[in-house]
Amino acid sequence: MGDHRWARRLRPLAGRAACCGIAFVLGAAPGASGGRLHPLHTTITTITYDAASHQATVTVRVFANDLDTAITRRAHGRFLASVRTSDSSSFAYLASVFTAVGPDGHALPMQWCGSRLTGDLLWACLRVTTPGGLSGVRIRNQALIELFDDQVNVVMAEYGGRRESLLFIKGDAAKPLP
Amino acid sequence: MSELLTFVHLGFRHIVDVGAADHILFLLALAAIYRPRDWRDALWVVSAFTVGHSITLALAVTGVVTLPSSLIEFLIPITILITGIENIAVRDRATALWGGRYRPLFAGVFGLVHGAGFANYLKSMFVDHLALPLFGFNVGIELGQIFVLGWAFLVLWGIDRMLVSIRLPIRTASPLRLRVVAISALVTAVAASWAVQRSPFFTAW
Repeated sequence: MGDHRWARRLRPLAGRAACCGIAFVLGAAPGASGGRLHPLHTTITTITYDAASHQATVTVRVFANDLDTAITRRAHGRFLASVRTSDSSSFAYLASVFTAVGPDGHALPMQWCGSRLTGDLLWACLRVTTPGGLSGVRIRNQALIELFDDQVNVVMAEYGGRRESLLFIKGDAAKPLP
Repeated sequence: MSELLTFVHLGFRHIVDVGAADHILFLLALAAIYRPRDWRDALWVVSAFTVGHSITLALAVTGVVTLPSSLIEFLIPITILITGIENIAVRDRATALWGGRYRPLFAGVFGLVHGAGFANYLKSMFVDHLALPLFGFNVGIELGQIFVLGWAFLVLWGIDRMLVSIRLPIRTASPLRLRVVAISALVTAVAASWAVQRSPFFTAW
């Protein structure tokens, strides 16, 4: 009633026009982040305990380029080709983010036992001496947390005939192995 | 925590993360045509999607098939794009092909593509023992999808209420149809922009 003819003609198009306008805005907005698949930011660490030698072998599986980035960032962005992916820099980094504390509250000493690269993945080996076994040892793994907010670090331990898993995200404190 | 639960947690976190936008967008496109009372249909479709991506994930992680990641990166937004267009194109599902019951099959096939997206990351990590981590990860993804679906239904319900309460200038379309077209148009536009960015045919641009 009282509408102009052009207004009546345009009215049915209003909804479609609004949809197209919103679609254009939202279509353009996430453009910058749409270029990559959602990566899985994860490290997998296995711990196996040898009761005879009282030693636990810790194998950290980490994407080599992510570890490189973390080490380079620790060096305040300086690109040090000789240091990147070297065993000493990898050990220094991993020993600072992966910690094992005995039931008595003392940090367990860690030694480097080598690394190997398979494809994109670096397998880093650490050896921990723990005469009392792994039960009650408090583990903390904050590897690459400073790089990715969605980083999840899985630790799987095998000792005394049992398998236990711990999961670490940003801000997690040390967790005891049962 | 048991090893299984750890990988369930890992899969769940992977899907409910903001970075999983392409996966969440696909779920939103799948859910856009349903009303909250159609939750069983939506669950069927999402479960078919899980079956699809579990198959490719298992095949790719075990090395049975090798899929180029650049192609998968491109195909994922294409699946979202097709779903969005299908939502808009099919006005009446009762008169559509197979009474509209082709959607679980459709979701399952597209799930094959999405599973390949995860596979490239998981293949490197789970090289020694596969079965339990893979199963746990898939269960976590399914639970994450149900969680996202729950939120999607809440948002869709809110949109429906809003469309009913305001006086729209469009008299012919039902609020449900308006919602389907609006959400599908948004999703389609976002997916189209991703498809162009990820296209292996326009890398020179």
